[in-house]
Amino acid sequence: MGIVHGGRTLKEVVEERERNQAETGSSYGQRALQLFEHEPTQLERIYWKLITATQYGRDTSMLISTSPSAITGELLQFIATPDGRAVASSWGLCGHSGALRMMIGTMGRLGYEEDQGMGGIRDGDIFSCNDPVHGSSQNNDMYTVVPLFAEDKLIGWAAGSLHLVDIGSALTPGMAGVSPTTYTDGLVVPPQKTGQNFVQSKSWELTLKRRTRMGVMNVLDDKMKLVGALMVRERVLNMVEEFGAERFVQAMHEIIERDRREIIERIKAWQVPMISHHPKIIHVTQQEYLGTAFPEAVDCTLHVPATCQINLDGTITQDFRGASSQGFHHYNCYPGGWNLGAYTDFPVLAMAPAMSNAIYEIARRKTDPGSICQPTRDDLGSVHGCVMAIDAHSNLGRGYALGRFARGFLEEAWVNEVLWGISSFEGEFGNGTPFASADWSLTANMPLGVTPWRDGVPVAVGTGNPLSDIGEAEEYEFLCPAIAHVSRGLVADVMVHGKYRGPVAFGIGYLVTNPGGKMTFHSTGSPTGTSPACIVGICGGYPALPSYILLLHKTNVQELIDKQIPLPRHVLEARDYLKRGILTAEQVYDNVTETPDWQVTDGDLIYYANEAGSSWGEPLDRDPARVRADLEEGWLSPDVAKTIYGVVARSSAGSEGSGHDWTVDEEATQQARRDIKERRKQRAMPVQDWWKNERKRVQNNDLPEMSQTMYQDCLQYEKFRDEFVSFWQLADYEQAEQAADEQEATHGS
Amino acid sequence: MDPKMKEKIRLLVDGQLPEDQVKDLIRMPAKDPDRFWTYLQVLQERVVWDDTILLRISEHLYIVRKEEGGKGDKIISRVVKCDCGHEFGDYRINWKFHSMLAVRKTTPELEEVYNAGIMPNPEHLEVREFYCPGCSAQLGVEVAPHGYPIVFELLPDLDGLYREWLGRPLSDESPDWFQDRSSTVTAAWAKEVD
Repeated sequence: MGIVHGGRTLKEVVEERERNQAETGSSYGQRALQLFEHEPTQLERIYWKLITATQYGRDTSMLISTSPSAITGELLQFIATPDGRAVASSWGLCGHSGALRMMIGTMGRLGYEEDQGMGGIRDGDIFSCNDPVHGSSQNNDMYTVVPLFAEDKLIGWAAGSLHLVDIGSALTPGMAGVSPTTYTDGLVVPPQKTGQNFVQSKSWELTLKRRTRMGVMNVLDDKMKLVGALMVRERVLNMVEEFGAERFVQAMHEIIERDRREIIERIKAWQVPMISHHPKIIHVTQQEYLGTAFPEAVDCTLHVPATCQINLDGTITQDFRGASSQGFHHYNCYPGGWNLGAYTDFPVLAMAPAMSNAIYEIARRKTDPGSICQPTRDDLGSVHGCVMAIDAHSNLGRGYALGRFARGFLEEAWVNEVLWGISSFEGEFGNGTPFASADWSLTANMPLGVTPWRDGVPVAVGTGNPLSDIGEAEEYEFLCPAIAHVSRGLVADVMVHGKYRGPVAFGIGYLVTNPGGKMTFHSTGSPTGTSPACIVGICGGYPALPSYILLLHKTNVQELIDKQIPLPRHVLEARDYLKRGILTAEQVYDNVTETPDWQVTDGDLIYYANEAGSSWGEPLDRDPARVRADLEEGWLSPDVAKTIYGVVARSSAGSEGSGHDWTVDEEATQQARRDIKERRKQRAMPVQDWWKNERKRVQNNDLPEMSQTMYQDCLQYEKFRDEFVSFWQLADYEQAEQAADEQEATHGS
Repeated sequence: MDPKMKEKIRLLVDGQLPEDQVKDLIRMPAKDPDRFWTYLQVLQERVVWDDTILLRISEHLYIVRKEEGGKGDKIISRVVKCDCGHEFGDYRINWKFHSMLAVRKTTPELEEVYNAGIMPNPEHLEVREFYCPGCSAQLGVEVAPHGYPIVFELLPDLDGLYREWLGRPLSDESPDWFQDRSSTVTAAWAKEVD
């Protein structure tokens, strides 16, 4: 007799879940939804009670925490079925709700309920996990889970998840931005019991204190998640008393299946069945920092194809085949990473009052074993695996946007780009006290992507998190007293141009102020030294800009302060100050993206310009009135208005002025636009001519070394090989492959 | 067809619908079921040619049904067409292959469009701009590594859409329509040079 409601074992319900999905497509093999069809009011009551239970747990428990990730709203509380599928979740980063399917899957398959070594699974137990191989998105994301028992049987799980501000990574504090192996990722905990009788063990508390840099903060976060889960548990037990365990479990199953069917119907109503391609590349620069310690950790360019296939039955095939091979870097994506990656699908496809796991059941993922998308060894660095998955999923979202655009639902077409970054600081105060902290401003706020009817909106959302909050500058300064904000705001002229332009970049400037002992800075997130989003722009617009960081080491800031010269507010002013000699620095690190640990000292300056997302449509189609509005707001320089948009405008303060009363010269604008199109004609050539020239380069291996290495690697995977060979018509390559296959077949026989 | 909705869609397509009214569309409890047909009608009224629009695939590009020849030898094709009237051929072939291409490889070239000096790294990437041979409109952009195949952005299953999802099958249905035929063009190019 198993522990699960109905008498089955955890292993049996996990296997049944997987079987149902594969054989019936339905969440629990249901045909009819009894409650939904015959007692919808009661189903709705249960549904909303589940939602309010998670919200109640989250909002109250959050007051316990002090960490920046909790302040900015990432905490998620959720309720799952006995087999681990989330049925309702609170506000917070919704993608975390997918983790339990895998964590519980592991616990079921390995027979945790019969494990005498840990005393099985009982009421009052607490389980923790942050292992991406077993469900966690990355090891910073620690899940705290309690089983829900009613009448001595398991009827579900209550869980809390939060990104811990530091998880003890070897090379960089906070979130490991340089980490070639799982052993440099920091603390990794596969699903394990960490407490009993509703109390975490002393040994677990000691583990968090000893193995992470901000142990006290992490212990508080742990208590917060546990309290939230126990509050949810209390509400669930009240519900069981009201509705009965049988009905409660049935309702959870029906809610997930109802959501699945609704998503499918919405796809059929709003989309176009199609195949669309939105690949991405990532540059990894690490060799310089890892040196001889990790000779396998080379600099490389990673290929992440993302093919979105919307099928006639309303399901989606998410095809990432042809990606680069797994390797010694931090971008290997284990199954847990994909859970979080899918969070960009939630606001686009799910659109329910609370997020259930139905979203995972309408999609089928295709990956190549041995690639970064499906590592076959489990000892590789993986902290950014979920980052890669997030970008790959947001690129699939371009397909959804184009589908809605094609179908006529322009109001629902938006480019859901996840452009973010975290600044991490670590060091030691003068008295030897260590500290580590992070600024989440660039993660908790992101731009709202561009649409075919309005520009991108900066500082607007935390994608996948309906209650995101940028956080106060003072809060981050409290958490890291050795930084002061020079500025926080939009950076004029840093944007991606188009008919509807991308959001204006958001900038932060930091001044390092007397750290006392040592201090390091490192940045992580979507900055990659290239387009953080996608190779392909939308409908003639340009893809997003790479994130940008300028780091100035050993400056004359004190001199500027003494002379009462205002410090530069943003990256462009800082560059201008440098050019004019007002600001000096012994070392200038320009366009550093993913950074290793930079040693910083008193007076150093760090400037970000992030989140300049993609545009929609071509710049010459932009309504001159919108260009005029940008001039009046000060977001655009007049010369940019003319050279990029072909809009000639004058202000009362003169053509170079910055007045608020700009007038567009319509005749001159039409002429300027004609001139730009004429220049295009002069610059361009038929694609066939370009192809002939470039093909020679490809055939002669006359490509940048990292690109060449990337192609050689990815050509081992059939899908990319077919695309590459057929595009460049590499007959020699095809023949060589054929010969190799024949040889292998001969040897095999 | 609701004329008020048609006017709203026309304004939406033009980018002239006030934001509060766009939000009203977003908040609709159920979308207008005729949206696709309203949209096609609005689009058809805007273009200067008569071929029937089957699907809009980009700001300027449409897949249209084209009929040529007389009664006895009528040929029906589905081609990509720019609103200026230029035709790019069979929609199953990446339309970019029949466009004009300008590539930005150097920092000064990139600075022309990335004016603040924050740009993709030209050591690894090039910016490809695809223009219409007819009107020079910029139809597509790629920021790609050198040697990366030109990306075929969107191949729709038109027969599936019209039959299964819209309930109005197209008269020239065939399993051949939902196939990527782009490699026939590159194969022909290769024949010319090899």
